[in-house]
Amino acid sequence: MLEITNLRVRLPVEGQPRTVIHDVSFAIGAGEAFGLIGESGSGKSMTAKAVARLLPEGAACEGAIVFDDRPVLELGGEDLRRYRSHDVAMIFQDPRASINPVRTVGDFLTEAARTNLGMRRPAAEEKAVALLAEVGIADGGRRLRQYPHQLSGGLLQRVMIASALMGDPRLLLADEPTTALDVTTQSEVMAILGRLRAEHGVAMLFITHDLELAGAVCDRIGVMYAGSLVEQLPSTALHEDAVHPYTRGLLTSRPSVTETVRRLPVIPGKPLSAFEAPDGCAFAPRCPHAIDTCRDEEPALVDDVRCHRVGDI
Amino acid sequence: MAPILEAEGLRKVFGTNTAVSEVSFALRRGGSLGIVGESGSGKTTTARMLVGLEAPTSGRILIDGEPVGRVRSTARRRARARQIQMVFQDPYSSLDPRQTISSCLEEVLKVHFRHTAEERRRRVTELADLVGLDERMLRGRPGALSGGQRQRVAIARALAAEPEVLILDEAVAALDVSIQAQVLNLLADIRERTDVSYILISHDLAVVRQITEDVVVMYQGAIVEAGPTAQVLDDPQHDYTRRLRASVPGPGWVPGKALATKDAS
Repeated sequence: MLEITNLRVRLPVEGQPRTVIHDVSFAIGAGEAFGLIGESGSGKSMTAKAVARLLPEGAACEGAIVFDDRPVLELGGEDLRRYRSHDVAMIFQDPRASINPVRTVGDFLTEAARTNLGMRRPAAEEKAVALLAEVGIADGGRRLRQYPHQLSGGLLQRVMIASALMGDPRLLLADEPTTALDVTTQSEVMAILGRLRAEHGVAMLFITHDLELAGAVCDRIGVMYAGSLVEQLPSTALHEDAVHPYTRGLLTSRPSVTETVRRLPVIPGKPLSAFEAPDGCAFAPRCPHAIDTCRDEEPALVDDVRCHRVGDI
Repeated sequence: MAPILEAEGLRKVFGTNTAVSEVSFALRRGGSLGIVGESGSGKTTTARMLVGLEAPTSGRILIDGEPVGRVRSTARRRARARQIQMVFQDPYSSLDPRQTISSCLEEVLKVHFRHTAEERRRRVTELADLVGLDERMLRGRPGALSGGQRQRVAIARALAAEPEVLILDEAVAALDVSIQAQVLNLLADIRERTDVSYILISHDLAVVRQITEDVVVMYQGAIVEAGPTAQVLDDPQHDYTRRLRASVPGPGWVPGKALATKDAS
């Protein structure tokens, strides 16, 4: 349904074009959940923004994003509006930052349906209340009259999910939707997202820094480093079969809730953005397995892994 | 030996809300105690009372066996500040963007000690070594540093006062996974090399498991469970602790499964 091929994005920073996405390719099938993982600056949020066509002004994209045979990067005018209102919806990390604090929850939930889908207010409100019930908010009618500050973070994120589903999208772009929430609330919100995806047949691009969370809720996982997708694998294979040294490093450097180790294995150095990356493999300076080839030649994505040493380690 | 820090029946009321009620615990010298709970559980208010940023409504705090009273003189307030230091969550908002890192560390030393300029410079270098900052970073301002480096500065600044207790309020929560591991190892090293004790406030049970020996679990302002960290996390007794434990994603985790027990609480 969604296919991204060799996506490359440059953004102007102080007049200079800077690469924020170097080379990203992956596909998401209808109803599938794809987890995109990476540290800050890896380009995971930019990838989602490119898919939603929400990149900042002046961004230059190369490569292709195809949604149902439509070239997303070339859409304009009415086609783009239709794509954004009917096909994709986005949920952001901080619900409080993406809702107007002086308008009611009802205004927020029904605005898009009234302007884009031409629904009358009572019909839109009826749909909103039904969706609120689906995300576990029983007294939807009352909630529609409330303001954002009267709702907790967890409730507000459920309102965001309901709002994303108002246009019956086929692809949900969820950018760290539970990072600002408590763990028990995160568990609830992920359960709701999982159920709704199953019931409505919605596909999801789930962006997170939490490998374990992505592994638990997604079908497949893509790991990003310095603007490139470095490994892609089924979630079930995450712990056993991940081979890229960066993926392995991420898995082992996280402390475990079930055991204490004397020292955590660390990935030395700090994560890089695409424009800071050296020639060759971007991960080479931090990689324990790097050899001269890694520093000189950029590895290609072969069998879903971007690493020169994949056969040796 | 008396615990280095003790809380006895701490209670804090804001207006009609009781943020913290009947919180008691003891931190042994050189030990590491975790306080876990979710937003609104009272863990941060408890930390603020420990460092003197909030006055308890009732209950008392003992440092090295001595009750901490209301301090009126500057000298006594400083003496207390020397004993307990705090590292905050956000390394971006807890440093002055216009101050170089070395002057930030020197400032703390000037307040607490009567060093000569030479001694002070030596101490700054020592602190920088302890947390892994180099000369170039010391001359720079926070803007030139990454999140992990800034958090190292915040830890060095807290250690500059040579405190008995370091309170780490979600001090690694905002860091990237690979940087978080580096800072957690650093915190373990510092505790081995100095005799500082930690109180770690966190919602992240894996981080708590890694760097604490004992833990108290807070829920709605009160402690619902306490004990050795491994025991509490492996065999949680209170329903809320079980729910918290079951919410941590891992292999075979199903979101929402933990909620099945929610009604019983």
